[in-house]
Formats: sequence, C-alpha cells, structure tokens
Amino acid sequence: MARKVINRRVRYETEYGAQKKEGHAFFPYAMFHDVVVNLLIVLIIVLMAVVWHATAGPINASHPAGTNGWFGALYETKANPAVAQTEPRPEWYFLFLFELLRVFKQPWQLIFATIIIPTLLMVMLIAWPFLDTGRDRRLSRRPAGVALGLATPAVLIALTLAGASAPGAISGANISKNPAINALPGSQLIADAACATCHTFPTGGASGPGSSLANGSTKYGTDQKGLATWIGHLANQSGTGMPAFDQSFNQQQIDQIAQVIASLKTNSVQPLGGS
Amino acid sequence: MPSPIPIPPPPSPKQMVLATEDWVEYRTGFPTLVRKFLFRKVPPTGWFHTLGSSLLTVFILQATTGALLAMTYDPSPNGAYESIRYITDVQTLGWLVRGMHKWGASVMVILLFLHMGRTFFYGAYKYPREMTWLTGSLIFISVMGMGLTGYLLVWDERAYWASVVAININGTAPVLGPFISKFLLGGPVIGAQTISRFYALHMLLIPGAIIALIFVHMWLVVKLGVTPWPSRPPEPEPEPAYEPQPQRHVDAPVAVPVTAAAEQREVQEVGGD
Repeated sequence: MARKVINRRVRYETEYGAQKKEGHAFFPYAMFHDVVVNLLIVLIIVLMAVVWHATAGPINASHPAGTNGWFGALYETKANPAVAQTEPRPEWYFLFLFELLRVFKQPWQLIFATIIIPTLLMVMLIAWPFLDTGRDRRLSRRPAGVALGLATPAVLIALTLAGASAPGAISGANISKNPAINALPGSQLIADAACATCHTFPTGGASGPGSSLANGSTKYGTDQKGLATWIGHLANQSGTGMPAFDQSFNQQQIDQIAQVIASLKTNSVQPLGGS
Repeated sequence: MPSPIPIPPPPSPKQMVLATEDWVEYRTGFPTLVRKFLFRKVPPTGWFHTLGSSLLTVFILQATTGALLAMTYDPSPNGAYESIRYITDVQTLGWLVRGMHKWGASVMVILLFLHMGRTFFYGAYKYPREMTWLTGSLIFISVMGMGLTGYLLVWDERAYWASVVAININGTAPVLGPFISKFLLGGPVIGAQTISRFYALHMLLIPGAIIALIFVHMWLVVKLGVTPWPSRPPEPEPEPAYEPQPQRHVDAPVAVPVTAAAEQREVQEVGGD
C-alpha cells in the first residue's frame, strides 16, 4: 500500500515537474491574463447595471413598477402577504429546480424534484474526485466522465429554458369556457391569487408545478369541503410547495374558490358548499 | 576643529529601501511570502485559467457593494421595499451600487459554472487536487445559498411568493427539513422574523463561510499549482529512483522514511522553486 502511494506520488511529481519547467513565473505572465479578464468582467457588470437602469427608466404614473427595460424592471410590485397576486418564479439559476417541480408534479413523484434529484446532484458534485479516480486527465481516456460532463449542463440548460418559458397567469377571471362559472365570485379570487401561474385551467395557465385543473380536481372532484381544506392549509402541510391560502383569504372566499374548482369538474355551476 | 564624533554619510535611497524591507521582513515575513507567491513557477496557463481569479474579483465586488447597500437597506417588511426604492431613485449612484450587486450575482453564478467546467474538462480535480474541488463545490453551494437568501430581501411579490414555495419545499425534506423551515421562517408565515433571518444569513453567516472557504481553496491552488491542459501522456512509469534496495525485512520501516522524504520534497517545492 505504502509503495503504491509512493509510486503514484513519484509519477505525478515527474509529470508535473516537467510541465512546470515549460512554464513561467506567475508574475507577470499568468497574472497578465488574470488582470485583463478581471477588468473585462468588472466592465461587463458595470455596463449591465448602466443598461438596466437606463432602459428601465424611472417609476411614475406612466411607468408603474414592473415596467420592463432591456434587463427587466427596476422593481416589481411590493410584496403583499395578504394577497398572492403574482407569478412565483425563482431567480434564473434556480429555474432548473422550478422546472423539475413542473415535471414531477404528481404528489407521489414530488420527492424526486424536491429531495432526491437535488441531493443526488450535490453529493455527486462534492464527491466527484473520489468517484472518478483514474489518473489520466486526457479527455480521450475518460469518455464516461466527459459524457457526464457534457450531458449535465445540457440537461440543466434545457430545464432552465423550459422553466423560463413556463406560461404565466391568465388575465381576468376567464378561467373557464363556461361564462356562468366565470361569473362566480370565486373565479375573480382565482384570478387575484394567480392560481394559473401553477395550475392549468380550461382557458390556459401553467402546466405545473401544480396539478391540472382543466377538468377540475382529480383528487377531490366535487367535494367542496375537501377542496376548501386542501386550499386553506392541507396542501401546504402536505409538502406540495403550494402556499396556505387561509393566510390570504377568509373562509368564505376559500369556499367560493372551492365552488369554482368543483364546478370545473362538471363544467356546470355547483351550488356553494356542495349539494 | 574636527568634530569629535564622525557623522556618518546619509544612507543612499537604496539602503533606505533595503533597511525598510528588512524591518518589515524581520517583523512580518510578508516580503518573502509575497515574493514566493508572485514568482512561483507555474505550468503553461491560458485564458481559461483566469476564471478563478475573476470569481475572487466578483466576490470582492459583491462584498463591497453589499456593504454599501447595507448602510441604507432596512430589513423589515415595512421598510425593505421602500429602502431599496430610496437607494435606486434618490441616493447618489445608489442605482449603480444596487445594479452592480444585482447583476454581479448573475455574473458570479455564470463564472462559477464556467470555472467548474474548466476544472472538469482539464481533469484538474484529479490527484492530488481532490480537496481543491471539494472546497470549490462547497463555495458553489454557498453562493447558491446567497442567491436564495438575497432574492427575498427585495421584498417584491415575485420573490415573496417564490420564497414561500422554496421554504415549503424545504419543509418536506426528511428529518431536518421541518426544523430548517421553522428556523428560516421564524414564525407561522414569512414576516419580520423571516426577513431579518434571511438578511443575517445573506450578509454574515454565508459570506463568512465563503471567505473561510476561499482562503482554503486559494491556499490549495498555490500549494499544488495550476493544472495545464492534458495534452501529453504522462511519463512512462519510471522505476522510482530511490526504490528501496532489496531488503528482506518488513516493508513498513522502509516505507516510512521514504514517504517522509517524498513529503519533504513536496514541501520544498511549494512556494516556488
């Protein structure tokens, strides 16, 4: 064992010693490259800040918060914990995780998106040098590693792009093709809470992370009490990522939302509270 | 009449510089340290080897702009959004500081991926640089944590509800999940406690960890040297020059001094030859 360690050390030092002989002193040779690129990066950051500020413009009556410039708005609307009136979207570098939520949206699959895949990625990242212990660094001598190294960013980029193009909310209360359902007070509340940023409705909306409500709820059907409990707090407690809406709405409003979801099941208006 | 004590001639500028350096050298050792760092020999490097130092520069930029923002930012549900509007609209060059912090974060994440890709395809994580990769991946995870905690501080609709979802999902993790969620929230819903917790994580705890990790990471980079592009095959396996001579007794007593000698040579090579 000790012999093996020494041989590896000697081989490495012979190779690295030879490579060092071909090299230069860190200063000024390598440092020159560093200085040029570092200045360039700082310049890019300053330019991005300038373009962001210059194109987004000031906030006033004709330019309300959220008006987009080239690089997005200076501010979005202020958070209002009482009413969820927005699209919950993460920063672009978490969009791949967001998209995973949309891919694995059945309750029993959810653990893949929330725990299993992110943990696996982190463990693989940290442990990689101890998994790939081959000595040869050349790409041709480690095809499996190189394939993984190309596939991982490809998948991450694909997930990020898919997450970025996830459809947003439906404007107004036109969640159903049935005008009678759209006229219910719950439909306006569904629009206010921007449910369509996570759920599909008959007229559109996002294909996840939430389940499709295009034909109502598969889980609860026309069970308005069950729906109301789920929306109020049960979904939140079940670890679906869905917020607890009893923080944003009162019980009557949640019952009205449940009425609409139940009505979507039959595509006809159900009486409030169920029959 | 000649002076009884001869006045020495004033020291030349060169002597003064040398004396000053000697003063500093004897008390701190920094001149030798800097010389060893700057004039150490490195294998042929190229433009791809600049990503690590760029990350250090962007980190310093983030720390500086972050400290400037912290002078005005108010980590409370009622003040956060308004203080950011004040920084952006009223404060002199506040928009530039906030803009650089905001976009610097995205640039840092991109650079992290590029730096990791460079290390990966060069095989630079391989023996004996495993620990350099390990500390680097911990920095990577910490920087993602910075992104997560910084997002909520703006206190806008999008970030607020995205954080609600993120904390909910965290709570589903087995064993520790609910505790971490409870710790992050500091209450039944996202509120004053949550924002100050995210703020403390974002500007004290995680950056502190990153600074410590950067020091270890950079020490390893300087100690082990950078990795050139793997273009040439490694040397054909040579018989070690100091292969223990045929000695029939047990391996261990022979192996130990040889290992020690190899270690010592490694130590001598560190810091530039």
